[in-house]
Amino acid sequence: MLKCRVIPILSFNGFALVKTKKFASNARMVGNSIQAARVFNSRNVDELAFIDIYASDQNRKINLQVVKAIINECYMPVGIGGGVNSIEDIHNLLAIGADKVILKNMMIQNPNFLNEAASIYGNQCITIAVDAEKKEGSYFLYNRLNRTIPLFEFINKLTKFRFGEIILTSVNHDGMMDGFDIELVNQVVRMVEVPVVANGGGGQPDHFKDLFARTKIEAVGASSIFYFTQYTPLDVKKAVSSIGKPMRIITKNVITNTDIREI
Amino acid sequence: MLTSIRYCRKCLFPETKPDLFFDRKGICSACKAAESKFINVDWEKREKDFFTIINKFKLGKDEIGYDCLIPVSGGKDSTYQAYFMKVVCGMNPLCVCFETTRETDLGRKNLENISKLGIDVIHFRKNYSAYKSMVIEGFKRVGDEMWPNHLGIFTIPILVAVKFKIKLVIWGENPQQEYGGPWESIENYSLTRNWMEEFGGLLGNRIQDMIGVDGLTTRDLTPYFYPSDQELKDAGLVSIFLGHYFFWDARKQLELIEKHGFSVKQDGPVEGTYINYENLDEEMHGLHDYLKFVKYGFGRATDHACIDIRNHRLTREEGLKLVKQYDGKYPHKAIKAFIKYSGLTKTKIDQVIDSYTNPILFKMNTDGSFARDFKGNLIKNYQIK
Amino acid sequence: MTIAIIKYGMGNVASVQKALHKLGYSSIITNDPDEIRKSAYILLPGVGSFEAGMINLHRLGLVDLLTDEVCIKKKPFFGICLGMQLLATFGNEPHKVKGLGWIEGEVVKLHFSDDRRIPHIGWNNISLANKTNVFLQEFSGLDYYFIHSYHFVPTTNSEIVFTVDYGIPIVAAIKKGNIFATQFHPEKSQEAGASLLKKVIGSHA
Repeated sequence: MLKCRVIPILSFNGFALVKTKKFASNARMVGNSIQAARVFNSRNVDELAFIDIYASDQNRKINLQVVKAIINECYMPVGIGGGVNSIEDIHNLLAIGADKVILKNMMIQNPNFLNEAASIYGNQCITIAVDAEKKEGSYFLYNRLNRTIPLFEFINKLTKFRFGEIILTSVNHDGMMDGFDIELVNQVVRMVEVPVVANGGGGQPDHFKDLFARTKIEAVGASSIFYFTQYTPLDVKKAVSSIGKPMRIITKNVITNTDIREI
Repeated sequence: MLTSIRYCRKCLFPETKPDLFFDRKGICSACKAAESKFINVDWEKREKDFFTIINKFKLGKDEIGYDCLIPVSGGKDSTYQAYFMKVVCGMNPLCVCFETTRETDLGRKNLENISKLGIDVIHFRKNYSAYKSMVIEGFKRVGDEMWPNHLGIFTIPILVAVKFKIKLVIWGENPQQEYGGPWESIENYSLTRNWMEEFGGLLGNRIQDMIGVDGLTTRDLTPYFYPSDQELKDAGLVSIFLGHYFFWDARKQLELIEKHGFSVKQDGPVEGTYINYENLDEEMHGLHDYLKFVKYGFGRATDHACIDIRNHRLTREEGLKLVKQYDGKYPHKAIKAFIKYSGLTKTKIDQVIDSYTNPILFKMNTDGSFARDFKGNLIKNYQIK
Repeated sequence: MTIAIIKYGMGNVASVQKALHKLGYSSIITNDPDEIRKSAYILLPGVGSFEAGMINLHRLGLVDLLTDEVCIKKKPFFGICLGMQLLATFGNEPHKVKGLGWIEGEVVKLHFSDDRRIPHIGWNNISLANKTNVFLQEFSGLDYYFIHSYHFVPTTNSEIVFTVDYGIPIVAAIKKGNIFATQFHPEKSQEAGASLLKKVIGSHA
């Protein structure tokens, strides 16, 4: 039976890891990316997502050296995003070991690119990041391209294109550790065929329990909880498992092996 | 091509420092917090609040018991706290010291000095091998060989407070300036585990993540498990920061305790900085500081210069000069000590340090290794402005 | 023993090499015929579409070479993900295309009548198809990482070693003589994956 996934999401600002609150620009610097990768690898997490959140804004590419160093620490799948806007970008990331490429601006500016990428690399390599912002009761697609895009219309249009997975982040709950946007998750899961990773708002194990009990989600993303509280992915998994959801629970920690470096 | 890093207009903290924010004028949050000490604070009222609080716990000379607990390291701040609570406030403190990794002679002397002030001190000697396993794993996994020490200095004093039923815990300067206030606002406040995980420098690693390292079991790690929020509540623990109620002036405090037996380093500054009165107790502190430098581009000398700048003892230019001279040098002494302690080879240690060295901040050779000068120091790819 | 990891423009080679290196195996990433012939083991990884995979193999002149090395010379072979699907007679991504044809069967799109998600992404536990297979018993019930929208349906069941349950039983691993292949990614499946790689590759060392 397929297990539900708990995916730590690492946001990178081009230099080190940061954590935002409601996607505001004054992100909090949280630390070095290698130590985060090693800690999560030691915990046998299901998967990792690493996103350079300012790459597009700053018109640069994600630093491949940093990405390679992180992937080298991980023996589980890693999704990488940030400033990806060409087939070459995707090729470079997959070549250094990324399993999935996370796209955002391209899905807005040129959704045909999704099909192009999928036709070469397969749908499953393409993950799209959908950031949902609730304003006065309605949902919009958050973007920094100055566009007003009603969310559900957008998702409907998107289903005609090829991709493997959606990371659905609630902007309002991002970094607030006040629980997930259940209504949003339920709506989006109903609209698409692909797996959805719910993200934004998880601050304690009970929030995750609530999410899995009240939606049909099978994967969840989290960041703040792992930086700022005593809870680890294992605590989250145990909580979700307690309501009957199948989880992959491994209690043995992996000891850091720094022997294997450049091959 | 040089990397451009933004620096605080007032001090020398870079934007790369974790948990630091800049306002619109380019002033960092640490400077703003320090500034608030000089203006808009009714220190008289705060002093009053402080004595109101401690009088709720103070025991009389005819009573048996400790009325407050002070976590100490033997360093200047905690020595001052101990002195202040015992001699100035007339309390009966129990001091608790979590043994550091490798104590220096000076550290030992200064810790003894606290007991000479007429205070009982519990010096917790930890399980050497369990701790050492965590030192080495902490070094490899999160680039901080002092990892278990950060955990211990918070956890053990709180555990003792709970067990000994000492409700009042006295801390020094408040790193997160927002906490403090009169009795009403702090009476139910204790530093919870969450606080420690967020602000204690644990770099995302948790005690439960150490289970299994070199066969360590939960039982082996007993003293490192922080009491639960409920246990803290049941024990009625209350934490206060002296720095909230009194204007914190580290240099003045140092002058005072030097008159009461505290010794500074006589043979030059501590490795990695320009001063001789901080981090005296730990032989390998230079490595911890250096790891911070390779990750974020600033080291202990920067920390000290910023404090001196904020306390108006140095101008920014003077601070900058000292930083350029002392900051981020390869810590030969600490590395030597770490080789001896850990059994790891220098090559291995350097390999781990390199894995944490930020390639955006430091120059690299064409073969992928980091460029160094003849003394083994990294070459910066940025300029402090 | 050197393992030749076939480089044919379908990604994923770095992770495989890293996993092998950690287990102590030496490997080269190559599409050079001499190096492939000299190697003691061939590993075919891959993520991407069936058609793109076959086009690239043909373009690099690898189809005949690999068929010769593996099916005639019986060199040990390990295929991962697309590297397993390409062994089929036919694939259908994006349309019907001939595969390597080493194992009779077809690769078809996953399809469900309920709202089960496609692609099949995540950790799922594999089950031994034949309970008497002592050699691989220790891996039955363990979770491995799957990420695919198409799956291999062999003509006969005799080559199926492991299945995985995702609404229907899906082929998780196949074995035919010197050929072993997995739909899941052992190089991304942490300890469970490492032990499987070690066991299978080690048996040919």
